Amino acid sequence: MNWRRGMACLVLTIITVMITARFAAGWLDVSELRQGNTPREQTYVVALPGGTDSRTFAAAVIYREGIAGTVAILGELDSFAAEQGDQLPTWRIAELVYRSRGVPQDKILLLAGKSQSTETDIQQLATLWEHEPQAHVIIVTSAAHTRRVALTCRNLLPKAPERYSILACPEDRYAVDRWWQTETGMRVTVAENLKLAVYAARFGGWKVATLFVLIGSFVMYAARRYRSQQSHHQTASSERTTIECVS
Amino acid sequence: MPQKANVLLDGGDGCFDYVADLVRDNSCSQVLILQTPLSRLEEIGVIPNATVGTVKNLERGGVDGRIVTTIPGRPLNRWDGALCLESWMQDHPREFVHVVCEQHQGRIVRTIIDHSTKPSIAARITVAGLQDQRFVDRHWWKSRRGWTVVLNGWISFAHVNSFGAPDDATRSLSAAEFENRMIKKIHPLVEEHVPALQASK
Repeated sequence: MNWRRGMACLVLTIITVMITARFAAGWLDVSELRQGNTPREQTYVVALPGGTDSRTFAAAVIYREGIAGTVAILGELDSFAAEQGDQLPTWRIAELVYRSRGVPQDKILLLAGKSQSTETDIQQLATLWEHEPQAHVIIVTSAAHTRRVALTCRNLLPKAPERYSILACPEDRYAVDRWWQTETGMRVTVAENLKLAVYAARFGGWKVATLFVLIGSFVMYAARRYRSQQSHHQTASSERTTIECVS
Repeated sequence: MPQKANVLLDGGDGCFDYVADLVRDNSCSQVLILQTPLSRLEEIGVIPNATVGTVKNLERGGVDGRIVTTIPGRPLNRWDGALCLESWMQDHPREFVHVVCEQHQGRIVRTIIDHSTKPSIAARITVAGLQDQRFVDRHWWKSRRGWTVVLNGWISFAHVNSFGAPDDATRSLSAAEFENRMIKKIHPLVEEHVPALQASK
């Protein structure tokens, strides 16, 4: 009877993992546009650093489509390669992309600051509202990154939920519904879910931390129980074999 | 590393300095590059294409740009790249190749080469992983960069070992295709959420 229950648990676990895995990449995308009645002149679009090959192109489209009136670029720490002169700094690449995709120079705003993480990016963005409190900012990032950006915004900008929107740019490096089939898809999805867990624990405080500890304990307990059942089963079957051999 | 090998550049922190040192030591006869498909930034001319960029960076380190050879083919990923390299090595049966990559990608590169090329060819390929100077390898968990590099390395390694070569390699969209997809993506959102814009239109 026990092996039947074990098989049922195994099948159920496989089905759960397959269903969860299928949506592990899709659920990260929480794109939303809530510009409301903010006029174009007071709407800014900003592409978060880390995807000059995609996010900046998407931000340029938002400007060209008449949704935003200004394109903002976050100030960044120059990478090692940029310091060595091997490549251009990322903010400079972003500026060149905007210029070549039809954004006039006077509609590009370079923010002061040193972007290092999603958190510092949002902190830097907050300086925009110091100068223009009515501004609406459209934050453009990769689809998998939007949920973590939304979480960070909710915690760092709690008083201004209607002052920003988060939009995902198209993903062409991997198919979101088959993310595990490519190396990039797996790397992005797994790493982003882990980072999200870290951010959730950090912002969620003791409640989320307790939840993670409980889930972790349950998984460890289940694994130990499964292992001990397996070893018990093996011992029993080997004893049976020995008895059969003796008889 | 065999005497006078061909060096294939896959990346790595300080890879251009490393190659320049090999050339000065007379250990490198030519530098090989796999020509990846044109990225959107290359397409619109914001950054030079990979071959031009590599030659420029090597020349800055005192290496003669004429020793750079591009391996034919436009591989979409490392598995394709290994096949292009195999084909080049079949045409050059006496040559050895020394692949230079990031330290935490070394095992991945080796696995791909061993799985996708003939054993006789794989035996003529050595792999060197260059240590990332931006974090201390033994204390990788102490820096953000260390976490990123090590985590990505393990995830990629797990994928390469579990799934092998992808059935269909993904080709990046061109700048125009990408922008069209973005327009299609935002139009429904605009119609629903931006009444001010609709009114002005």
